[in-house]
Amino acid sequence: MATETLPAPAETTQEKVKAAFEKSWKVIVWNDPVNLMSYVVFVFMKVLAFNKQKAAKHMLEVHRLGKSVVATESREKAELYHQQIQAHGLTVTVEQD
Amino acid sequence: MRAALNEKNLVLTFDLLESSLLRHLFQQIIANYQIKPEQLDPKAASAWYSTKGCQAAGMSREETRDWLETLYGYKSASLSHLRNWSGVLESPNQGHCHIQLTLAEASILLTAVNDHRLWLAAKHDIGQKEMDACALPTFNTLEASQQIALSEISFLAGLIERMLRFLPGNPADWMETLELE
Repeated sequence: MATETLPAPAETTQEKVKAAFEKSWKVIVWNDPVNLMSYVVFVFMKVLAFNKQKAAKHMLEVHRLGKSVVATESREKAELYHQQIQAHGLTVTVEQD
Repeated sequence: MRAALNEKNLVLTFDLLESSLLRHLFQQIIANYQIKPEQLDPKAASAWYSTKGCQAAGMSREETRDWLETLYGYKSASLSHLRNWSGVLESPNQGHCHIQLTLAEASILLTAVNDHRLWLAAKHDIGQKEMDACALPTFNTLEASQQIALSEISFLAGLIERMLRFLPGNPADWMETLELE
């Protein structure tokens, strides 16, 4: 028997707005061989307003595990962090949870 | 190379050789900061203007173009400072040059200097293995251009470390926070 797949429902405007404002966008900083550990701490303190202890914890996570989720925010705020962190030379991506 | 606080300003002092090298590096940064992302050497562009994050975020082509334009704008905004500092390094006083910075200017200089480290590494294919090549026998096996680039990367790392000690919160001394845990 032939089956027919129904088309997936189109995302409504309401769903798009909800997705944009939900704090479900992860800002991920990735390890690289060039940036100094102390410089990464400086960037986290400056851009993300982390205290030194929190900045060092995330920097070590990047160093040891290869990446660290440094913020989970709305899409707009996550993209702002993405741009500011990249402007400081760190490797960064944004992904939805 | 020395860094010190003078009231609220950070003062960097360089001897003649350091001044000459730093001026040369500033000239390279100034030249590269003026090049549009799409015209920059692809390897170097990947260090400054990678769009991997934009793709992961599902940004459209137009959004990505605007995003790159903003990044380019950040770099262009540093040009007048870099030209000024480069000029200061042309005029030694009793064998030394002094660059005086507000804390906001220090942040601009740090980012520019760090950008150049990334640019040098990308341009000369310097990865983890080359960065770890501090021991002389390994260093000597690298190509001459990589040896020069690594020396410049290391010189700029020294400048960054010295400056960070005087910034709010002293990010250079991050290890002290581990002792608190």
